[in-house]
Amino acid sequence: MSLLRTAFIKPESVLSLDLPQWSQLIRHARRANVLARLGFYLKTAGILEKIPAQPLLHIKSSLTFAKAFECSLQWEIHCIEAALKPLDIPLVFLKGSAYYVAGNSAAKGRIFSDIDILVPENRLLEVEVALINAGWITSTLDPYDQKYYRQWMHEIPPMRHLRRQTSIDVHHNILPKTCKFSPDANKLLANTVQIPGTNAWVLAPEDRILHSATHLFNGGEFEQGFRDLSDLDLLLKEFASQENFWTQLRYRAEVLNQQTALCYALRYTNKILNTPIPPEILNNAANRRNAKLSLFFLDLLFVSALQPGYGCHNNPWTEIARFCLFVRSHWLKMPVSLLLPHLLKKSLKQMNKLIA
Amino acid sequence: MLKNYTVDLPPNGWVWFRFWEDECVVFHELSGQIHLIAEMGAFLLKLISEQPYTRSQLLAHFVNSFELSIDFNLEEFLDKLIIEYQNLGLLTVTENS
Amino acid sequence: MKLSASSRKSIVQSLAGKGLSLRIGSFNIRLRSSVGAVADHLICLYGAFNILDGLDFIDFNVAINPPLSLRRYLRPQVNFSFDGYFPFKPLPYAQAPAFFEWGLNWCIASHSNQFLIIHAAAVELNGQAFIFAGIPGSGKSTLSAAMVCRGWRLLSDEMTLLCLSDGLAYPVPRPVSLKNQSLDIIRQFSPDAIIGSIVNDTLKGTVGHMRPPDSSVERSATPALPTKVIFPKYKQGSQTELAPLSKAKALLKLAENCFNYSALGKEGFDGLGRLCDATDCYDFSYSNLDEAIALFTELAS
Repeated sequence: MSLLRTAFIKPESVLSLDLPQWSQLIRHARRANVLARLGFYLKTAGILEKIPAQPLLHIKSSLTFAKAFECSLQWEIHCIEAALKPLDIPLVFLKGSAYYVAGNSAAKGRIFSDIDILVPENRLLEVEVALINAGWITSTLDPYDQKYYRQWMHEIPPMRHLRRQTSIDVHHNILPKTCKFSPDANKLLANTVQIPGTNAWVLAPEDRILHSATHLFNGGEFEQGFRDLSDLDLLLKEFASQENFWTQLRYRAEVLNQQTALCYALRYTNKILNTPIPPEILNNAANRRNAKLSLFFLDLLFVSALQPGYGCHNNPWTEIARFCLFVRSHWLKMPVSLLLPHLLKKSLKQMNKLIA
Repeated sequence: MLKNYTVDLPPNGWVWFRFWEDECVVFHELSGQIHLIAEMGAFLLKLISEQPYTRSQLLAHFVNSFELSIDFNLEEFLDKLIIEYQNLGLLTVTENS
Repeated sequence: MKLSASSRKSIVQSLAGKGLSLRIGSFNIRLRSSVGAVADHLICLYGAFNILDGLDFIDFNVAINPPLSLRRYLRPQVNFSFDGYFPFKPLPYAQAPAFFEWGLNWCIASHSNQFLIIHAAAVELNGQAFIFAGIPGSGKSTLSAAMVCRGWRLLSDEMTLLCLSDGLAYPVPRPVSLKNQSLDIIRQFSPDAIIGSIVNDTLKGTVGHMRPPDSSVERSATPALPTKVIFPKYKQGSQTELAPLSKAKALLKLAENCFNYSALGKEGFDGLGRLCDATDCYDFSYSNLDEAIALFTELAS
């Protein structure tokens, strides 16, 4: 098992590492964008000051950065709230920014570049205009990409603030319209919760988990796969103590058409990060995928793709698995009649770049 | 513009100062912005960094500390300065009843 | 063991194999490269640095290698990789040694938040560290290279590492980067200076690196207390002029020249504040290196 996985499952295990192992652990954690989160684990376990001085510097360096990052995040959220205040809509944060405003442990040591918000689809235009008025612009995308986004995606093209260079993704759903798992966004919005004393809203705890799951397992991008899996692990652990949590989680998965994503989330957090999940829930999830053979292959793919250590020139299998899952995610997002023209168009654009 | 207000630091303590002689550097921790402020602006911030002041108290301090020319409109100057710093998030203004 | 004690063959072998590990200031780096010019660069400029054995902690794992693509046969290029990924676009093959220096600058500047990292050169005499900060082209590297040729200790070129906990400047006495006319100025000023291979047509123009004095490398573990912050400006034909700069203005200028200021938040602001409290700050214009060095040597006595 990789050092990083072991460190996440059992932080005390790092105390027995030698220096070359520490080099590897720091390198992998940095590469998987979880160095600050590792720091948070070691701090919580009360062993931060017991680790050797050299790796400690790197961990503290990333914790320092994470602290400054939280400040800038808070400011960015403040600016977005100010920009959208006149519209009088509940401002629903998603993913990293949601974990932060809700004070979830999944926000700890989580460094990310975009803030994601969810707004009702019929208010999308007003939101976009309000953001433009407050200094955000739509990133330069060619007309094809623009059209692709607006016609098929669950978000408008990413917007960037001219002065602060920060980025915001405005969603009206959590999956593209074309994806067969796409839920009814109104059911998500109807279930949001307000952060006391603020104008910030987040998805209900179960929905937050389901969104995280569907983003990871249907998103096709595994660059941050290990980090995202760790988010799920932290969210599941945090909410597990709530009354009826597991029943409610399954119920919401059904309502939102996310049973498959949930099945994967439970299976792979448990397999890779030993997340405690009641056996009946886990078995139930596995049985849903009754085709044992396909589960066998998915295990091969996901367990590889979600490994930390990507790109550390020792695991070509991870890259192959990630590629297969990338294609799979497109398969899920679009019917073939759309997918083929899209991939063709994309590859033609790449060719043009090469020739130009 | 209000004529009867109290000026204070922002409530969450996100603003940090360094004073040297008649200059001041202010760091707004949330936005990460840093401002160099001289003379009367620095004088104002020095006062506010110690305790809240009302508009009339501030005016009195300025009159006592600077040799102002007769045609200098101190009230207008102070009001403008305070709005500017408020917009930068360096201080808060509350109206007095 | 010092790098100069190794044969070229064993250096090339290490670089092409598991990598060559070097102690550079407070950092341990491991470099892999199949590019011969990188080995020559190390032999020419890093001779006084210590090679580490396999049991040390490695702060930065970097590699300079050609990309695996057809292009290598058309227009050869090299990539800089860190932790196995590529933070930069490839550069022409001939720039490999300079790419190593720039890439390592980036590694240090973006992963060492125990330091406030200022875009500045730092040199030391009589226990006093002088920090020369300013935009590229202000002549800070030329000035510090010349001072180093006259017996000042090189703490660092390109970046000053100011430790946030003790306020001291920590050495990373790597080769001094000289650009365009600075190369000739230093060659004339100090004919003994060892300058590595020259690369033309980089984004920064013509670039070469000057070997740090062995004595500076040997004292890599000893930090120094900053006493002066100086913003130099080379202006042809100008008088040597040192003009006091207010601490508030100096702080602002330093913040503008900081690599990791936004990553440090308040700690960075406090660190700069303490630095300005503890030092005298100046704007400095010059054209005559001998006069400049005489002035600073006087200031440090």
